Amino acid sequence: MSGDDQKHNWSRREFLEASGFGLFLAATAGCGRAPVHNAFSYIEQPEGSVPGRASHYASICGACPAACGLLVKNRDGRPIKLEGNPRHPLSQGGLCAAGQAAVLGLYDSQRLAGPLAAGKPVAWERVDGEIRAQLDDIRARGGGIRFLSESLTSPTTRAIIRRFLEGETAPSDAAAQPAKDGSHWKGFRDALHVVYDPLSSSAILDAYQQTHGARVLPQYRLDQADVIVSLDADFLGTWISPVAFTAGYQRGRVPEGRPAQMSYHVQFESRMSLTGSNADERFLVLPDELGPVLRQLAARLARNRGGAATAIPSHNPPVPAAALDRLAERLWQARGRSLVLCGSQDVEVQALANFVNDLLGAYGATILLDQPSYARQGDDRQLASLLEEVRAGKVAALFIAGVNPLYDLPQAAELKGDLQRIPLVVSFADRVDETAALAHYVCPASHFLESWGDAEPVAGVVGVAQPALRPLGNTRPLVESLAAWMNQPQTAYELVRQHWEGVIYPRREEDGKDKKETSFESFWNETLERGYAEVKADVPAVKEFDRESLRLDEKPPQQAAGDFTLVLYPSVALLDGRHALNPWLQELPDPVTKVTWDNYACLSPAAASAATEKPLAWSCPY
Amino acid sequence: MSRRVTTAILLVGVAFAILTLLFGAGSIHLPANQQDYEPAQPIVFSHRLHAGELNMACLYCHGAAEESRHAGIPAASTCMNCHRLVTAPIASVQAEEKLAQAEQRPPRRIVSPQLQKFYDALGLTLDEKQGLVPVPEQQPRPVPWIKVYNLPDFVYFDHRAHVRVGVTCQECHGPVETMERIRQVGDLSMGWCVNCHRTSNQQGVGGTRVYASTDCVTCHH
Repeated sequence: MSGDDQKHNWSRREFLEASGFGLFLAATAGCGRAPVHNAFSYIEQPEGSVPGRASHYASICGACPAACGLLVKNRDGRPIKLEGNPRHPLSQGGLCAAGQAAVLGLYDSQRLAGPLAAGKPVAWERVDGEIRAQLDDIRARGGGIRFLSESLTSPTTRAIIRRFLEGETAPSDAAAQPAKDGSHWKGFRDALHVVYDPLSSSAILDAYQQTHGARVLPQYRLDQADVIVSLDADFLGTWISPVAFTAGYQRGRVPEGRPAQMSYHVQFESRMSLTGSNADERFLVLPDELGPVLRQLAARLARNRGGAATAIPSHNPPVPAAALDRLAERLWQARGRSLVLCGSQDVEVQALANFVNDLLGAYGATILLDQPSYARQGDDRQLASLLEEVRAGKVAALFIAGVNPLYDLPQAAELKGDLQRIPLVVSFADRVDETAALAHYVCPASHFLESWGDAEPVAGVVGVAQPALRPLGNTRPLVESLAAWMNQPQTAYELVRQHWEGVIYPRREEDGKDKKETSFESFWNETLERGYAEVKADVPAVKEFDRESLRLDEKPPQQAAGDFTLVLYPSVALLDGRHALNPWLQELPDPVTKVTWDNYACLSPAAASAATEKPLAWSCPY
Repeated sequence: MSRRVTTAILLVGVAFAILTLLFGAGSIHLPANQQDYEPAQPIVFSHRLHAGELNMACLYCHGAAEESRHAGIPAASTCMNCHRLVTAPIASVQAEEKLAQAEQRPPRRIVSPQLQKFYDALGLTLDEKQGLVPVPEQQPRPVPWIKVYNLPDFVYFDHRAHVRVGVTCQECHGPVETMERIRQVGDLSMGWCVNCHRTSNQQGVGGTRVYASTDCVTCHH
């Protein structure tokens, strides 16, 4: 550049020339080859498999304890799409958002690839050796062993946990192979399996304990119900087993069917839920008004039946008396074909719901107690006593599977300190979640799509979950970990098959017509092909409804401290938050509020206006 | 920057462009056009030998073309149908036999260096007496072949429709039976596909009338 040249300003023309030239060079340089793609082929092509052609496997969804039937679309050794199994008697081809998105969870790069000891990746042999040594130590010194899990619908997993805690007691344990040194597993003196559900239905089970003498969660048959009354139970969205309930609900609402069918659905709720938006009639009530509503209904129905009408005191009907009269009349007309569902967490309210259902003759018709559901087995009182024990330092070892107490339970900070004092904490979480971060050992369980498993979501409906790919990491199914620590290393496949041969297969119902004896092999293969099998329900007998157990005296209404009642509810996509890291679910709009990717509080427009002290500029479109 | 410098740079650029056009006219292509791509494969596999000299049918190895979207790369077990026994080219086997006769010893089994790579991947070793035996404690690994024909993700191509209607493999893949190393013959552009669909509609395929859709969703769905 010459010295007299002043600061050169680019003209528009020069700029275009230069950029055109730059573009030309970039285009020439861009003519390089695309990145190299490798193509791998099978070593040994499995018979019948064709590269590029998808195959479907029947399996069981493990995204929540509802355990719906699955069809896994699998291409070139990778599951790519999950759909409901149309032949499954419960889910009938449905699959919820969490189930649909579970296939993305499989490929989550944050999933642990192998076991951790004190937060560091180690080999399984080392983890097994150290845990076994600590367990031997606990057995010698004495100390409580606690196994904390969500509701486990897998009969094999439940049996293995029981064998691990209590030793070989059940006849099915006879199939277990003895340890290498020939000894049998003895279990522990002070061991307990504690179950809790982040979305608890403990009150329902407690109420049945009170009124029917057995802690069961009944199976609700919405397809058999002509009149459905739901009290804050979002059974189409998030309550217990929404897919099965939706399938049943749909069957009862076919106005153009032959014969035409249209159930009548009344919803009492304190927020707009997916279920409420489908109801024929919907009443807005406060959460603590569910009891009074049920009381009012019970009083009217009991009057119809004759008898203890006056024995049910109730005041302040939260909904118009005329509407309740109408509803009671409808329910009474449809007795034996009506159903009252209650999502309350109050045992007394649940017991009242049982009373109403008994008045309506729902038991044995729309509510099945002899084929109960296993989707919720949690016991909140047991959990509370476990937390008490943990606080008192009475627990020597805590095994945590499928739950994340530091995330699910209140007072996490306090609980964190308590958990840190337990000498041995083992987590089976598939990632380092809040609780697993504290655990001494994290033994990641395989994803349900990469391991053998089974499920019995409702007594008598069993299914086998088959792996759709080899484990992506060095993870191990929970049952294999427990078997290894019992010195009886076996694969999940062997354990599931053994349990099925010993326990499930004898429960099969023989074909009435030709009394043909099916071998276990064909029973197993048929179950694998179909995805489920129907066997006899193996449940303890339930007593008749016990009228005396019911306390009908109404508690004085609690004095509310503020102007608002906080209602916490699970969202359709994220449920209890266990799938919160799944982007598909975060991107799914809420079916009612349409909110995506966000946390929010819903207020009525009036309350929101009052809070901001100015009229809101927008209006609610609903 | 002075005008002189700008001009100089521009002239160099133009000269470069003209030279590239003169000497590389055949290989100039737009980005993403992979025509004439001919990567070296991890194992030197000759289509000329297999499909040309030995006259093997394409579908013997790429049988999935009839029943799947992909023609597929044969499983190692398909190769082993022959290469369980054939471990070297016939010429070198004969040479070894001649040499053995001259040295008055039984001929040794020989393995060609390329097949050795294949056996190594599969965890096999040649035993003089038992033939190919697995190496203990060695997991077989698939061969990382390099894909030559690559379509973008927004194009769905299905081999089935083409093979069933009688389009020969060579129509799109060129004279594979003469290629030592597979080379991408067509440019796989949309025009390339659509032109053939149009001609096929007018002239048929192998004397039979066909209907080849030129609808967008046929390939972009």
